[in-house]
Amino acid sequence: MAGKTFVSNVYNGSYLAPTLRINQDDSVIIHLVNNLKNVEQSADSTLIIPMCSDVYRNETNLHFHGMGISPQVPGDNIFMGVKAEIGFNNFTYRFKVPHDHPKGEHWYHPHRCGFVESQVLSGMSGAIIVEGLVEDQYPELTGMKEKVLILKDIILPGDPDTIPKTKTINGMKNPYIAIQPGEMQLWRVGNIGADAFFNLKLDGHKFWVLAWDGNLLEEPQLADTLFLAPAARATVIVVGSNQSGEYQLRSLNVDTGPAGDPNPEVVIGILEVSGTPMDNSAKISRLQKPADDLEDIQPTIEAVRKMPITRKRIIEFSETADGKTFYINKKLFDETRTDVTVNLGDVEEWTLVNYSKELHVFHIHQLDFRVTEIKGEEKDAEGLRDVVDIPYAQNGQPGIVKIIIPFTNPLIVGKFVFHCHILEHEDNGMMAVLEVKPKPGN
Amino acid sequence: MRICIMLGFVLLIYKNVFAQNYTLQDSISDRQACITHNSITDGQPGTPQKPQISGTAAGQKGSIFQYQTAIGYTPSQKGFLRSSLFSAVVPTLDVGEGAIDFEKSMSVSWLQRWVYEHDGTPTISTSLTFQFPYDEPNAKTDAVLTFIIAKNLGKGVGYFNAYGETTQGLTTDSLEWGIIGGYKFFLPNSKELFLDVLYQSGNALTFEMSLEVDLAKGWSLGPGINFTWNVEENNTVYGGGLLLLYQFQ
Repeated sequence: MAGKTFVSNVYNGSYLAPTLRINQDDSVIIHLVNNLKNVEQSADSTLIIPMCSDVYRNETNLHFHGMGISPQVPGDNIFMGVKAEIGFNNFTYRFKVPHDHPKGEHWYHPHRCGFVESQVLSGMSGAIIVEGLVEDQYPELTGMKEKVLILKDIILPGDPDTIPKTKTINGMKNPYIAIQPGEMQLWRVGNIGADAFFNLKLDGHKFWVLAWDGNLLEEPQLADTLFLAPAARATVIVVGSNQSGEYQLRSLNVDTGPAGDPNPEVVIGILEVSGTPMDNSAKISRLQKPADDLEDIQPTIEAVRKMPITRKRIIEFSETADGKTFYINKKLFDETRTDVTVNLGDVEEWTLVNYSKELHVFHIHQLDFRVTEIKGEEKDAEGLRDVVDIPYAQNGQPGIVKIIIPFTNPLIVGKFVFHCHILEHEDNGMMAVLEVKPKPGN
Repeated sequence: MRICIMLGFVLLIYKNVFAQNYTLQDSISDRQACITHNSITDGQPGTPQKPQISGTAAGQKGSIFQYQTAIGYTPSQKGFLRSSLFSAVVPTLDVGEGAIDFEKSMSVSWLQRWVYEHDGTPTISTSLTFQFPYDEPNAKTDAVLTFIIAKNLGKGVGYFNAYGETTQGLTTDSLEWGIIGGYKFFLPNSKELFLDVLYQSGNALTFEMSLEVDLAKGWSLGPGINFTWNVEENNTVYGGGLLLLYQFQ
């Protein structure tokens, strides 16, 4: 990679892990075999959390990010680890994709206590695509060329910690992406790296956003830039410029706060527009109308808007002055402690408060939520999310985001976690355990 | 009515304590297991539906050298029996004093983890062992009941055991008891260090230090040394041993 050869921990022998393409109602069976070794290509694990001691080094597991499936074995249980020791080094994950599961981009990655950053940073993450979004919601656009753009960050051997991590697309530094003038392409873009932010800007082009985090928008949104916090995904349509030529795909500078890691502007790819021009003006006009079947996915954003709130909570994010230890509600992660208990069917408003001088990225497993307020400004998002960045504290005032979380999917009964998806922060304490209890008598 | 209330209470206890389908217990078991030559009972079941077999060789200064083989099995992947460990120790081989002989007894044990560590509650387990003599006309069956607490403390695990045992048959007339406090430190490269103190009725204190090394392919090795101080007689004994365990794959 980038002219360097090194040994890294990856899935199936490739930094670009297999993309899992699945459909609603599919039964998914994944055999995980742990052959991890200590490699040069990983972040140092400082093991701040007492629970996450050296016993878990090179232990791994799988989390199916964005999938609304059971948090219990043999599904998306992140409390269970698979050792690297022969004889104990395999586990078979099984789950069924719900009939009304959102169609779009999700992803898989390890989630073992204390070692998530090092494993993801070394290359362990891949895309999951639940098929059918365009076919069902925009059938007139079926047949577009599709591209999966896997965005990751990596520390290349020899790079000091002090410089920004190298950003890649599909494991390549500055790859060329081909498109014809006027051609419509479906891009499935996911930031499935460890710590970096991507704020994509494609010179001479805009993005028609169909979905965020695998969740359908009520109507496509035309955007100049795509802001992808760690773990965020976007399903977009790009229309090739009528002018042939090379256009830079850049990740713009992201202000992560005075205590945050630098994310300066960098070119990450080149869009090469060439070939026979295509006329897609009729199809483009379809993008100015709502999706066909909003009821296909449950719950709809409209349904969430109308749900009465059963409880309000404040969730605080903070860190020590040296930026090495991170807390949720002033506590380090402990997988044996349950921090939040809710009942199935509850709809809660969470106020996420960031006291740190750097961005944090809230993520909750098994669920999507509606963002209603950022820094005191009301939002009426047209789609659900599973990650949201919480602004950093400024002038002594914390950054605040409000979200509505519907705990209504009966599949999610059990224990799972919510955390900051900057994996360095998660590994060093910024994670908490949530339990969804079944309805009494059920 | 009273029966219904009692039945409901029992079902509630079963649902919340015994039916441990939530597999956080897997990581608890991994973390709190103690596979080495010392006196600690860890209170953890084995890998479900995979037998384990262990051999322990141990000796003390001035005493005979012993070897014993134990087999263990956790019969289910879920529910009550997921947290059980049934084990048996086949006749112990005594070596020393000019002879090699088998102790004429066998023992069987039932370990049950009633609560695994969660929400500040430690792991709570019990172990009940019966030792059956055979071919020894005057020997009697004895029993040992052990109460076990294990808790994650700092970056390691703390253990507390309390036990009572009969020595002259199943009667309280000959009851002896002891308590153990211990701590496990995690070391790099799949190694764990245990330090513990055992106090036995009769006024004896034993200090133990042991190591667990998890090898590849299901093997674990556990060497340990101990030092006993008999307070009343004011004499000391030291010894050591080695445990080798194989977990079937």
